[in-house]
Amino acid sequence: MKALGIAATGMMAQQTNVDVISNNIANANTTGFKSARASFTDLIYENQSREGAVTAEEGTTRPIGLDIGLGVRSVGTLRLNTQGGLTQTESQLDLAIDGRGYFTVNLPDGDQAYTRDGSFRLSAEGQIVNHQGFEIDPGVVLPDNTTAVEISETGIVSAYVEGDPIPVEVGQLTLTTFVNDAGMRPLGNNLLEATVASGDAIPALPGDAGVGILRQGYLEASNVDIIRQITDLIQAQRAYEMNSKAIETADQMMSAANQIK
Amino acid sequence: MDNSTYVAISKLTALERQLDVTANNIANANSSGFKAERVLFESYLQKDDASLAGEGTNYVLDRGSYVDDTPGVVVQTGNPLDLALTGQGWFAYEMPDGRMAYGRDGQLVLDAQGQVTTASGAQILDLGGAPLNIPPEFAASVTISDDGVISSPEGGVMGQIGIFELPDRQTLSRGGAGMFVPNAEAQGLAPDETGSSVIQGAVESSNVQPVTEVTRLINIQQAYQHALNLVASDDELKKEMLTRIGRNS
Repeated sequence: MKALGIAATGMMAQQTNVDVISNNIANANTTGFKSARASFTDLIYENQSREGAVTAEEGTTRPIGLDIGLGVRSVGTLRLNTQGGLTQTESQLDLAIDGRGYFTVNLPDGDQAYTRDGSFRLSAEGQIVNHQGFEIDPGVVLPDNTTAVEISETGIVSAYVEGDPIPVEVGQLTLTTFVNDAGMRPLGNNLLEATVASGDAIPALPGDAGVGILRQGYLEASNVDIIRQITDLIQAQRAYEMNSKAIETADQMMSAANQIK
Repeated sequence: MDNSTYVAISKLTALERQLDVTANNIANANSSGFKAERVLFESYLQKDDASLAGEGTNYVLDRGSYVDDTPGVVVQTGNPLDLALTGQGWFAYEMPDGRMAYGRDGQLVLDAQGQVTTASGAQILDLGGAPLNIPPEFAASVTISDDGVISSPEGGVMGQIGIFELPDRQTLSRGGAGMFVPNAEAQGLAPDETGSSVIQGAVESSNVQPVTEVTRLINIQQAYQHALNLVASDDELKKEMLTRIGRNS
């Protein structure tokens, strides 16, 4: 009787499912967060009698075999890279990407990470940094006595310096795209890193073909659909219960078999 | 020879297998594109005595299992590379080990080379039977029509996802990961003629019916208990017989 083990794989898969769903719900208000979905497939099959096996000398074959599946496994979490809604903020350094692409951030260890979270701030030196103080790449430094910043849809940063009505162009923000966005690895803190699966970073300018544009004064909300998450949660719980029912049945059958003598 | 215990045992073994199959269906209640498995029973008649025509002992044999190919519910996801199939058609894949397989799992991702694969790494085949590629620059902005034609935002056609007819079930074995692997003689792909269509942004969920599976669990358990009762009463009968014969001698 393999039912105990099979149902156990089912319960473990549903636990993974609930973990992924609860992380989505927890991040429903995280800027630039992309919801994930756990994906499951059936495990290998134990082939107890083979389909198509010859059953007689005349060449007749068995129409069906006896395949007993050995349960389920989680193959991965798919990140849903749809656009999140844009929320208006009052900050001049809040940027939302409308379309594809990521901001590049220089990590303290020299690596680069990518993010859709455009809530930038200024460092003490006037550099544009993310909420952890990591500088964006390529870096943009604002002059000391800047009164206002304007960032165009194509990423050109202009600063209004005190006493001068004509803005000075101080830098150009770039975006990075990937062939397979879903293959990027999440690092936490709204950051993602490139992997072999995502492919190499492709530098682009905002507004290029197939690349998003920047919206100053907006932030991208998470794309978590709460209703969807809650219904998924209900489904996961019921599926978990069904698997435990299968374990209970197997257990009672074995206990009954033990009691006949 | 008294066969009743063996008849009961044949039933018990078959029920244990059916429980395994049911547990596997329940475990895969959330695997997208999964098709439930069913067990077929048949009786195996053994004639004890040739003079008694029509009499004999019937044993249970679990002859085989078959796939319940009713479609699963289509769930909207909004992901451009999630594809659900309606109708009788199937997708074809090239599995990581190079073998060809059929399946209905349409949760696709694009790998770094622009190949369209499932989460477990099987590449989906186009109508000509070759692995499908999407030029990287069009990734995530493709439109896929009802008949599987992939087009870029500018309207250029980049390929067509193959929808195929599933060959005879007897030439297929289940390969795990939702795949049905044809044997060596059945490698040809036949395009589907029944009018199946692709729905972009949706996933076909598992066709496991929770209520059916849980009621099946109850049935299995009760049938198992009945067969065990048969063993127990047969045992009782023999015990009774032995005591009475013992008393008379």
